Amino acid sequence: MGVGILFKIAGIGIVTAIINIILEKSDKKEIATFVTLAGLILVLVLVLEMISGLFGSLKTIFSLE
Amino acid sequence: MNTLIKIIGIAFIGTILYQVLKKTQTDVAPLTLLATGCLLLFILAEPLTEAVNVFRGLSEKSGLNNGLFSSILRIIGIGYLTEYSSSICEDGGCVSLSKKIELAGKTVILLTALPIFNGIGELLSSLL
Repeated sequence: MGVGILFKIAGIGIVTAIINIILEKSDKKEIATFVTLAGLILVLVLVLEMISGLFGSLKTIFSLE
Repeated sequence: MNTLIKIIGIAFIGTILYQVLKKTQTDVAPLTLLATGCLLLFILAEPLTEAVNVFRGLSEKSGLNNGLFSSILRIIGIGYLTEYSSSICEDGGCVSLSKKIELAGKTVILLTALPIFNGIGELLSSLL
């Protein structure tokens, strides 16, 4: 739960971008869109985990529930 | 003091990553903003818990009944949450959604503040 997650997300984004470019060069456009989607979903899952942890800790701090 | 420096560092890293990702992969970029905001709030959680515990101790000592203090705490928490999510929506570009979230936060705060109004009403009627 440190800065590492930020770099992980950025890494996933850059890797998907590179794979996209490679796939487009070898004219496989449809696989490129799937790779973009997969990268986006992966990042979404990571961020969702972080947010649920954050909201959980906020709930305990402010006894919201 | 060092938490402040850590927060500033993480915020800078987040903005730089956002710019990098905006060029190569535009749909992942706003997610890094969300993640950075989340991380900053996580770091702010510890000092916040200390402040809340100090206030809880004070309120117990002063004999204020627990309901008042817990609703005040809840209102602060709701303000905290709505501010975070509405600024994230603004970053994503939809200002109208962030205004809706702020409106929802205000209504929920009003709802949690209702029992305090009842308390004041009863107090006044008992005085008169």
